[in-house]
Amino acid sequence: MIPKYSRLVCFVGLFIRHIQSQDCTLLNVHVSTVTKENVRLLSSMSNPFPLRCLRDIKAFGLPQNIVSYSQPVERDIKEVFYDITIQALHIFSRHTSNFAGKEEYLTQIKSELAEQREYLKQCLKEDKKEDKDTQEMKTHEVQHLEVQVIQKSKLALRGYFKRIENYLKDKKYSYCAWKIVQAEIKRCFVYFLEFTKLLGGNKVYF
Amino acid sequence: MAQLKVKVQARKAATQIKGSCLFMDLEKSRGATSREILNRNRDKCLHKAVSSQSSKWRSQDRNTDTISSKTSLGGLSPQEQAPLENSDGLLCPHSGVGKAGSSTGPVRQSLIKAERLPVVRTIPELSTGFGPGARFHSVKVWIPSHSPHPGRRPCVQPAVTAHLVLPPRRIPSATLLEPESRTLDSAPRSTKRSQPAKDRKWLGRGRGFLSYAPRRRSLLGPTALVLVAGASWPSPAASDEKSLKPPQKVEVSIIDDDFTLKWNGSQESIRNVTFSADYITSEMDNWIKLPGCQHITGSKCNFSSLDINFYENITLRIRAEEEKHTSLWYHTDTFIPFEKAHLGPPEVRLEAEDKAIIIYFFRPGRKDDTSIWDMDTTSFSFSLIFWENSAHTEQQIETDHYMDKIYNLSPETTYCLKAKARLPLQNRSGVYSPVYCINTTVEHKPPAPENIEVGTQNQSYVLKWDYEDRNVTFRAQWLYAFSKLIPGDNLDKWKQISNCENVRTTYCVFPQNIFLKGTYFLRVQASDGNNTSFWSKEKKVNTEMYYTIFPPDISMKSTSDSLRVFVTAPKEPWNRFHPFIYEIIFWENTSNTERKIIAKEMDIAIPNLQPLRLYCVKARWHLLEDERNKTSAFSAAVCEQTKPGTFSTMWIVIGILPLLVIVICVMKILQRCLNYVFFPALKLPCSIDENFSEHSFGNLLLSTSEEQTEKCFIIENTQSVIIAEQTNEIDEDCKKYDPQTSQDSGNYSYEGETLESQISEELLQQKVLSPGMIS
Repeated sequence: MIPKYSRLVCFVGLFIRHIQSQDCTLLNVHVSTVTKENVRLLSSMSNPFPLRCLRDIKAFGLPQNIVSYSQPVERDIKEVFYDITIQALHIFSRHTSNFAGKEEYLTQIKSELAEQREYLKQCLKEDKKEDKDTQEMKTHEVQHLEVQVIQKSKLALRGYFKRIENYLKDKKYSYCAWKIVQAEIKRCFVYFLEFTKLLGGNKVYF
Repeated sequence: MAQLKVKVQARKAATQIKGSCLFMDLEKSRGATSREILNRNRDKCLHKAVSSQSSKWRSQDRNTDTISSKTSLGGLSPQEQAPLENSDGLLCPHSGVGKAGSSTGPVRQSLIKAERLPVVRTIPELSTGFGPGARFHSVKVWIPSHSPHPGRRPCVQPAVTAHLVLPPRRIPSATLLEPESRTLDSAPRSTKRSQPAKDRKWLGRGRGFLSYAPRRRSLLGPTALVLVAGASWPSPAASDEKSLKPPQKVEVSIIDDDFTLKWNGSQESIRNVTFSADYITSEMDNWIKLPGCQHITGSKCNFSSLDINFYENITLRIRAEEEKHTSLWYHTDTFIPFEKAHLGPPEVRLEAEDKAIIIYFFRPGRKDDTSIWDMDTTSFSFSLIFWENSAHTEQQIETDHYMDKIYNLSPETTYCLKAKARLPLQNRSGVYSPVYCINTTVEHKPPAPENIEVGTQNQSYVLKWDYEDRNVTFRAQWLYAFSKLIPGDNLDKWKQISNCENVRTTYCVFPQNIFLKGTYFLRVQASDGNNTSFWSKEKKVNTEMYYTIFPPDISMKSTSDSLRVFVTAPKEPWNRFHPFIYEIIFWENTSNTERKIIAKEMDIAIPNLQPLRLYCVKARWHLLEDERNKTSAFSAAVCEQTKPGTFSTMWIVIGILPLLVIVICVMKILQRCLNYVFFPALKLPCSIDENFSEHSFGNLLLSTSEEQTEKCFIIENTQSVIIAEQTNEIDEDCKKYDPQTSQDSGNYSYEGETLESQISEELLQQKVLSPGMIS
């Protein structure tokens, strides 16, 4: 009886220590849940889509590949989702007087995105800390090169969001422009969710 | 003598080219892109027939000059260097001699005709237009296309093209500017300039040879052509007294939205030397004048007004100018502005209260959305160093928000701070801003409320705070937490809580449904009629922590020595981001000792249990967030009995087997008995069978109560056997025995025997059987 009990106590002790750090192992579950929630909110906002807005449709050139091959895939996924979270938050935070949808949906989306941003930021910070711990001193040059390689796929993503923002500006934040941008951001979320599912393959992730 | 060495080789080993139709063209262009040149060439040269044997080249366009009958395989002599031109100055790809090309239009010079790769050709300095410092040359390699007509092998499609910028003298290297390879009729794609990173790296500056690998497939099929070109200028002649030297040590510096180009001007600063710069991005085809950097007299210029995509490649070039003369262009490395940019200092605005300071941050760069940092607005974090002016003990504070407050300060004191902006996830850190100082005000009456607490009661939130004075009214406000991520004054974003307006108590109650799920800030202010206090310290509230969470549902599966417990996840509207753990308590039904397990997975197994015992389990959630720990109630206990152990089952199996065996044996014996009694295997001897009946004796015991009667045979002493019936006391049925009519089987009838022996035998039997009857 006593050895069994002590085993349980150790068990508990291990878990408590683990619990105190940010729970990033369930990241995939959380991110996909939140993203699906956002997609649902965006869907409810964009129905019905007025036909007169169809002529304003524009192809924004969603970047097809987010994997950079220079770091683990999970890291790429985290960074991409962080980027799309902050960019979507950025887009929804300004010039929303003509926003095509209910106010409460907008605040809910922003709320969710802010939470997701916070969460992903913590996870990425922890990753960076781990990097620092495991690797020796990097020279500045090496760091610069690394930054260069990583940025290629992220630059494409940036370019994509820049095009969306420019479109909104050009159309002067009209009702139709907002409708189209909502649909586009929803599409972006869905695309990356599916992409990460494909990357995950048979794993339990996503 | 300066020379250009060009080498064309195949990726794989030396390749034979069919039709010996390999050309190399060195072409000088002045601003026209190679695409333009190629298109023009295509129109003129599309249907040339090139013979491999003959050195005669014909042009469909009869305006050309005479064609030499010799082909030159080596370097061109000065006479041969002159190209063959059409009337509009274009050339078709063939070697040969023609009129000397003019130096105005694009000049093309054929260099080589070869049969086999690799090929190296050295081109001496040919004309004034081609030499050190020459601006823009393209080296094109033309190979045969696979045409269906064997006789015609038009060599029209360039497989490999490289643009060279030949360096000025004294720098023995050439910059390969825009390597590209494509077929004639393909449209340039937007990605044509973005070489894979590894290819790019091969193009490092250096001495000697540069190489790259063409991305498109060449017409030679799998063996791609590699173009290697290099230039060496062994002895820089000092003979350009008239040409200016291009600027040296050119640097691009980007700090926030400030784009600066710096250089070392030429040493002759006395003269009226000005500098001009151009730029080109990967989306553009031509060099464009750089605004703000035209005819600059100093040694730096500012081109911040440029409206470009910060995430695309860009290259700059600059040259010195003096009246009519210009120096050669100096090209900078290609760079991406976003990567090269450095973070400047943030802007800080301070507001003082009596015991707190409000800090408003503005991210570096322009405030509007044209800034290079605009898209990273929500990623900024600020770290500031804060100290009291007299004390000099520094405090370091980090914040994510664009507005922050420092509390617990003394009134009427001077405080100073300096801040820097960081983009932590990009490993970027800016410089510190200048020091800002501010004085806190005199102590303000009424004082601000303190120690805000939030709790729940039934379905409402209860907001409580501390306050000493009794004669004041309070009001409370709330703000979405994400509002702090965007710069700007949020004064208009704070909203009133209606139940907490003008309350006299140090608490207020408001329903939970005011706040949707999310994170909020709450603040309280006191007012005594005339004056209002400063706002209290803001309290961050995450509404999920206040929802009642229902206990989990449990289901169990049992094995003989363990139980598997399945727990459901917390239901909506729970926050997915906050970690939660389960606490499971289980005990044996009869005993009282409880054991606890804490787990994270929703499916856990409790091992080491006794078989065939009843165990009960109850569970609850623990949710953790920062300071708060939220626990649900325990679920109802669910009991499940463990299955019998494998040990006892084994015994059962062992016990059952012999039982089965025994049962089988018993069954077999019974069956045998039955068979023996009811279905005997043995047969009666034939005589008895004959005598008694046709009915088999098998049915003797089972037959009905029908009486068996014996047949009686009376045999008379005659030749023929006659059976007569007797009707006195013999109550048996007798039957006539007639061999013909007998139903007896053949076994028992002796038709071959003599009748007499039969009769005598029968008589004897009769006598024996019924002695009484004869006498």
